[in-house]
Amino acid sequence: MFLLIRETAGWLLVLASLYLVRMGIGYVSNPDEARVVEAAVVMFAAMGLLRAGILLVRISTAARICHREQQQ
Amino acid sequence: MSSSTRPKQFSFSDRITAANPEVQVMKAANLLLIMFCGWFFLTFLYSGAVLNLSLKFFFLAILVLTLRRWTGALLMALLQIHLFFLEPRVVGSGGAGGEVVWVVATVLLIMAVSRFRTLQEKDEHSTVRRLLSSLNARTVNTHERDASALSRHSFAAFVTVGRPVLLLIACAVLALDLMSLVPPDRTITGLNTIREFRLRPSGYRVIMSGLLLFSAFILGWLVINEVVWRRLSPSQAGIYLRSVSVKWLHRDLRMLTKRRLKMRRRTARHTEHSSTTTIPNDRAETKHVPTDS
Repeated sequence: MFLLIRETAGWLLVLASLYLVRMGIGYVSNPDEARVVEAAVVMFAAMGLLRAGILLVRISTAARICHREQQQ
Repeated sequence: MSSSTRPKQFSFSDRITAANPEVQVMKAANLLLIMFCGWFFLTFLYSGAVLNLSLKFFFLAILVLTLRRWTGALLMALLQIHLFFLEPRVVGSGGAGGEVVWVVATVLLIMAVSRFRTLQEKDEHSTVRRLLSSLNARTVNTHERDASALSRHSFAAFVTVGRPVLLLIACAVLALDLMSLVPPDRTITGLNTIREFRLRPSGYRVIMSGLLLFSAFILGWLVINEVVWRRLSPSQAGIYLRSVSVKWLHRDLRMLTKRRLKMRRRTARHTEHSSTTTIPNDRAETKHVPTDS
């Protein structure tokens, strides 16, 4: 159960990072008001979130593989 | 010799003498290629650019001096940054054709440097190297080699040589398409974006295409990474969990382990170099070793 919660949290972080990436693209997609600096800041935050989310997903996946092996 | 003095047995001169001549030739070729890259960048990259001289040399040093360490993707990103800053420059006498030649030559150079670096790291496992060693062994011990092994190595060598060529062509075509997205002085709407948007139009297009490519890369990387990661064996998963645990909880222990691993890898590399230089003799000697055990 704890592994499932951890993996769900990881995927939520990944989704949040993808939303931030979309927001960063939205900042510069309008040529009338291309806010490059804001887009860079948002993309930097998105990278941090993506890294954390991927780490959580990887750890929970590896832990589940080990747990399954121990149960067998 | 005691174990405490063990790392000293590989001095610099020993390292040079023990290294394979093929590796030395490859290193010399890599150095020549890097020097040629420096000359190429200095000659063509700053042609007509309004930029301070110190900044020019700073960017050139970042580009050239780190070619041995960085991969091609990062260099491509650096060149995109260059284009972002240096786009409003005087177009050379070659016109659009010159720009195309510049893009193709740059991509080819970067891929060649990256390929040389990869070959230097994995030259022991190269199939070309195996083909040469098998040919060498065939001339020494003909009766121990069969024709099927030679043809298998030949096919592997053909694949090894052909794959980077295809990769080069694909990267050059992709870079050409990407560069065609960057207009010389106007946007799609034909407006003067430098005055209206306070941003260079080519820089704006570079940012947009870079962000779109990056988002596509993230999605593809997520899918592939997850599919591959779920095929881990239990032992691999255990190793990863232990490494993460050490990384989070015992930073000092991790530092010691990494240092030991680094020294062990260096020692193993030296041992492999010295053993590969004496492969024919070793094979000749192993034929006379009694096999009682």
